[in-house]
Amino acid sequence: MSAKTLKAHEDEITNIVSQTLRDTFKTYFDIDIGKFQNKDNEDNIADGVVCKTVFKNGTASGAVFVSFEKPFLQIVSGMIYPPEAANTQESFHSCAAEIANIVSNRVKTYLNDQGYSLKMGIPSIEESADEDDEDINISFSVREKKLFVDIIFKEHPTRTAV
Amino acid sequence: MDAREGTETNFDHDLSNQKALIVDDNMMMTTMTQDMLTKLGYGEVVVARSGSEGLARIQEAKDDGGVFDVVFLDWHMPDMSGFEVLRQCREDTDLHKMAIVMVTAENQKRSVSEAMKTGATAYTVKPASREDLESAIDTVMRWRKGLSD
Repeated sequence: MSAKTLKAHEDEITNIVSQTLRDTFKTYFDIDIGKFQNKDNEDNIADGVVCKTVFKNGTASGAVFVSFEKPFLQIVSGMIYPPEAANTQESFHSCAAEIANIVSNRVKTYLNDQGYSLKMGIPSIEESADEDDEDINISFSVREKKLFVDIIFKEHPTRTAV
Repeated sequence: MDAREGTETNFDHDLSNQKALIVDDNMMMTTMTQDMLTKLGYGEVVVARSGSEGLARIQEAKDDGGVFDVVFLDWHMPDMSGFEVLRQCREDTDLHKMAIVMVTAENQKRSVSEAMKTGATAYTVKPASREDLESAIDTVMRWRKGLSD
């Protein structure tokens, strides 16, 4: 599957991401998330947290970026932690990383069901999401706060023995 | 998350003399799971934030003669995977009565099968609800009863 053919799986992957986020928010926070939309190119998050999870094998690699607006993380963090601990970077990062971990695992499982043997890394906090036109970019809203999921995937040419 | 609020369940195990260990590198998960297990009635709930810390807590408890009754174990962690913790625990015959519940976002059938073959007592896929944890604990209690019969 090349980056271009990743687009061919856009509907399935979008549904998986959407269902996973729906289940996660309902189970952990009792929140119903809004319907997904295709992300607008101009849409971005100025003040927030971006969580990146890499997956790769010998011939392909990709990543799932989950981006959260800070007020969004303040809502969910406030549901988990006591007031004195809820409004900290560590709390925001832990909420972002766990949600990203669950979404990324589902995407990895889908890609592996297509014949890859991808290994997944641990979610890390990044400055911003990498994007290009061949990626899958989805937008969600929770209580009018934004959440983006961007997925990139590339196959690498294999070397031929001379 | 309140483990006792919401839907009525048939969960009626007395866990007050039981000691549980949570091994997960994510603070949100350890906070939520600790809260839930305490409300379900566990007498003691200990948290480890990495695989190696989990193994250290298990070893300490064993040395003190008080093996954990159950370990709730994440799979993907930075220093040592939950699968490696599971494998090492199952090589230690002193820990054969310690139940191990995988609580992980890893949902590939092959991984579930591998963990169960290696000796996991139950496998719960995240996001794990209160009912999912109750079901896993129910499996643990039946497994333990099977060991003592």
